[in-house]
Amino acid sequence: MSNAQGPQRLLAEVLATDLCSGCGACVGLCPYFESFLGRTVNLDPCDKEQGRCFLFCPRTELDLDGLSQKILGVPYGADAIGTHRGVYSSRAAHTGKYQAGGTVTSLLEFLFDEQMIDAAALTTTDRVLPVADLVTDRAGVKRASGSKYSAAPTLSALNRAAKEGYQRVAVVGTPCQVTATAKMVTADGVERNPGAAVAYIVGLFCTWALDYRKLFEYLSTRVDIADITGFDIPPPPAEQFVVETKKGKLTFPLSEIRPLVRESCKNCIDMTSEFADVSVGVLEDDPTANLLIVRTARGEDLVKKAADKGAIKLEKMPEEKLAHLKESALNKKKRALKNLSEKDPEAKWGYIVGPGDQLKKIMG
Amino acid sequence: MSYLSKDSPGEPNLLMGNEAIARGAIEAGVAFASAYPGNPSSEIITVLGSLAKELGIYVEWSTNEKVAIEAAAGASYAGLRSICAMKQNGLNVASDFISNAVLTGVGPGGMVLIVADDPGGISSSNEEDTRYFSRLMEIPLLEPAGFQEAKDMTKFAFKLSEETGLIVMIRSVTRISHGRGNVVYSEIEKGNKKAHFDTNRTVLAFPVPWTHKILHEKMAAIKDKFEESDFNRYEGPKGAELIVVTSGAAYLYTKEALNLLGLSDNIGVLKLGTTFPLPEDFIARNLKGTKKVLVAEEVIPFLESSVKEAYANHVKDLGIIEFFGKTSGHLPKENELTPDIMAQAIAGLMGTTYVPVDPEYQAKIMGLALPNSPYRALTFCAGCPHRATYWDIKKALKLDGRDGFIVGDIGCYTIGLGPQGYSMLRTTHAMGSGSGLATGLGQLKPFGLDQPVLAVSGDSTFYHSVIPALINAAHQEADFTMVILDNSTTAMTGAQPHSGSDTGAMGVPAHALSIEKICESLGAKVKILDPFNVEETVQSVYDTIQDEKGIKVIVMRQECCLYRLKKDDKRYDVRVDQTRCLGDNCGCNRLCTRVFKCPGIIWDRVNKVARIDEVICNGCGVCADICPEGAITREVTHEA
Repeated sequence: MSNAQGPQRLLAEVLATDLCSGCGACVGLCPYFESFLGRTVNLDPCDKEQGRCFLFCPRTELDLDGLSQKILGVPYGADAIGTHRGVYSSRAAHTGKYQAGGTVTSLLEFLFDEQMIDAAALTTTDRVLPVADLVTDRAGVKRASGSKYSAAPTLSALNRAAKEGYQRVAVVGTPCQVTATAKMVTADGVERNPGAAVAYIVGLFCTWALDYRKLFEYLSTRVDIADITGFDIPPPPAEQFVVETKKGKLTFPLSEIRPLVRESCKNCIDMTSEFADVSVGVLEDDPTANLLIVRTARGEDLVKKAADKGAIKLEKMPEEKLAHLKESALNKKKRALKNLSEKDPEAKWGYIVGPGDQLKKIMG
Repeated sequence: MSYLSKDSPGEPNLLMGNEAIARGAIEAGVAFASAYPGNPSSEIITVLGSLAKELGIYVEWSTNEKVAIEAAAGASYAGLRSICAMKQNGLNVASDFISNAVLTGVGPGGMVLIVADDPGGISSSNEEDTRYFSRLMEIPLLEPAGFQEAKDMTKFAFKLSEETGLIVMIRSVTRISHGRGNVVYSEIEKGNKKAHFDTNRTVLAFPVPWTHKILHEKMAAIKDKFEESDFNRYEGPKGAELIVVTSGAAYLYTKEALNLLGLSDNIGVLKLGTTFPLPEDFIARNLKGTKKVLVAEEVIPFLESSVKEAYANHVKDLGIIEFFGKTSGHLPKENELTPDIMAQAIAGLMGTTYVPVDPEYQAKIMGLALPNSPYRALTFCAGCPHRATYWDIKKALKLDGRDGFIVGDIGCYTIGLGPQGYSMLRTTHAMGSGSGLATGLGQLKPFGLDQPVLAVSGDSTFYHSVIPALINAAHQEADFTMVILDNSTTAMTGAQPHSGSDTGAMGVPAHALSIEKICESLGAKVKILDPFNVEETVQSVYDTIQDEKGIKVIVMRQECCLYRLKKDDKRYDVRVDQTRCLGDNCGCNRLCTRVFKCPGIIWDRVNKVARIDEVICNGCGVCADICPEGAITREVTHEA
């Protein structure tokens, strides 16, 4: 393997192997990568030996211990939902059109209200295509609320924000996007690093994302795409994929949707955005609330302020109620490590660099 | 009055070979001239067109070579002397007509076919040796070995054509057509300018064995005539140890080689101007007494085979002669000859050696030249719309991601095969071949071909030979996208008008045919795009290749930058704001100079940023859309 950490290696090791999650970390840094209909596209060859594209990509040289030390202050831990300071059930103080408890929307609105950020890299939907959205005020937060089921190049909005001079940017992203953001924030000696503009990282829970082009192809013969207003996956044991349309709800068996999952997601060990300041997901037995994991001091401070000012309502969540979540998170890790080791037995864990003992333990 | 139309017998004039051919036609009283442009033949019709009014003749740029030769034959049948010019590739297109016209004969007006070959493929996709056509079609062949002969042979060819009722072919090559030399004029014949088709005459080839026999009788008579022709001569001592048999430009290289070797008095040169049918008796007479013959000619051993065949017919008289040339490996079968190559071959046969350049000097000069000469790639002109077209299509195909590809043909846009055209073009063959290939590729979905197929052609090529392929595609419902790069002219051969132009070869108004209307009449979905509008055009090309039904036509309309600048100012003043260009600190990794590669943008080695070369830049302004930092600015100089 070459010592280069540039675009050629990114192309060979990530794009050519379908490991790309479409997070957008490499988009907008240079003219060579663009995101188009959910895919990262390389437009022209670039021969740089070192590239931010390679350094920030969540699917290249992911040093779990190093990143954990820098972000969380401890080595990569054994907990399947990642190192954390506290877990809560959380909901927005005011009701709205959120998925579950509306915690993310409330936190973002709070950050704008308190002038703790100048901009946020969020994800909105252009008809059925999730797209990056650089939001610079409270009003913009609303249009980004709600779950998305296929990957979006959200981090291209962070790159744009940094380029346009925003200095305090909140990033809301899936685990791959959070990992990339964490790599940016912790990268040493990188010039024009968008990570320097990151103020808060809000992570989302994610089991997988669908390949937009495959989803579009699947739906185009079954639904009038123009009528689609949203998607939903009801909690188990429904095994359904719900397409909300102007003419009503259509349900499809989840077994037909699973083959449309991005290859990248099958090689991802992170379900709960382990390198975020706070991570937010659904609370299994309460569709009106979120599960909120607080990981960093900065995250703790944010959540405390938001709760104190009444933006969100918190309830401490006992660890024993997290068993099922942890089991799901552990299963995702096991599946990914198995896939990675099968993909390239030589490289052992693929893009993941150590800690070997920990990973072996996870594998069982 | 032009120097080409002066009636001044005996006066020497410095003429380009193609001008000498045109002068020969003028001296013969030509009335009708047609051609499809193709280097190295193009200037013949250009100069005749510019003199058309003065001479009272008709000149046209035809839609293709087959039409051109048929049009010229039409004039011949009506009693007018006609000339038709083409490059070697063009003869393939015209040959279908010729193979019939040899049996029917041409009309009472003499008809001359000029074919300019391109040994080495300097401006061609091949180096086809068209002399074989004369044998295949059975038409008389003349090969000028200089500029005077180019003129004289053309004039003579009209006479021969009228005497025999056959098309007479003259084969030139780049170095004859594009070289210059003194030509002594002879008188200008008035020539018949009154056209009439004799309705008592039926022009037909039947019964074929009978007309074919007549052809052979004519060829036998022509052979007898060639036995006495002044275009053939022997130079040097009788019964020389070595005789070089040669024709065309190779004669000039031979003479120069003998000079270099100081062997002009020792070695014989049998120079042939009439190479089919071959004057066998003349050749046998002159080879008598020699032991060694070297046959010198360019590309394929056409003359060598013919001379060996003639030798076999005369072997009883001639005894044993050893033949050298391409078959023996003494001369190459590819590329042009040079005096050095000839000198080396002759020296080898004479048992001496010839070293063109002192090897030490050669090494020294290369050591100096290579590192110091600037890198020059085969590239589009600065501001060429084709660069923008490939840039746009490249992006559309990358976004699409299904590994789409472009098939094409020969034209300026063939540069798309290389990095200067982003290596977008995958094939190139004959005129219109891309569209033909695409009609086949567009049927392969049932065999699993799931890649978008695009074909490119120029505007002139569209009229020349894309139309039949598009008709086939429309009829068979082939699925592909035809991209016509409409730069308003036949750019590659020197901006000649074509069937879409509003003026013709004579500079008088012509009816301009609309590409889009023709395509629409075939049921194609037609879009007209401006390749300089990068963003919009990328999206439109992307949308087009998503449509998987039937033929889609995109007309990329933007004038050839050189053609435009003949009439108009630069569109934009383009500048690099060197305070905004981040140079190597930009993530762009020199997108403008390394990838976009317009020669109008250069790397400023002092300031380590990009810079516009004001002399080279033609002001298209596309690079301003490419720069991710917005450091390239453009200001309108002229409202388009």
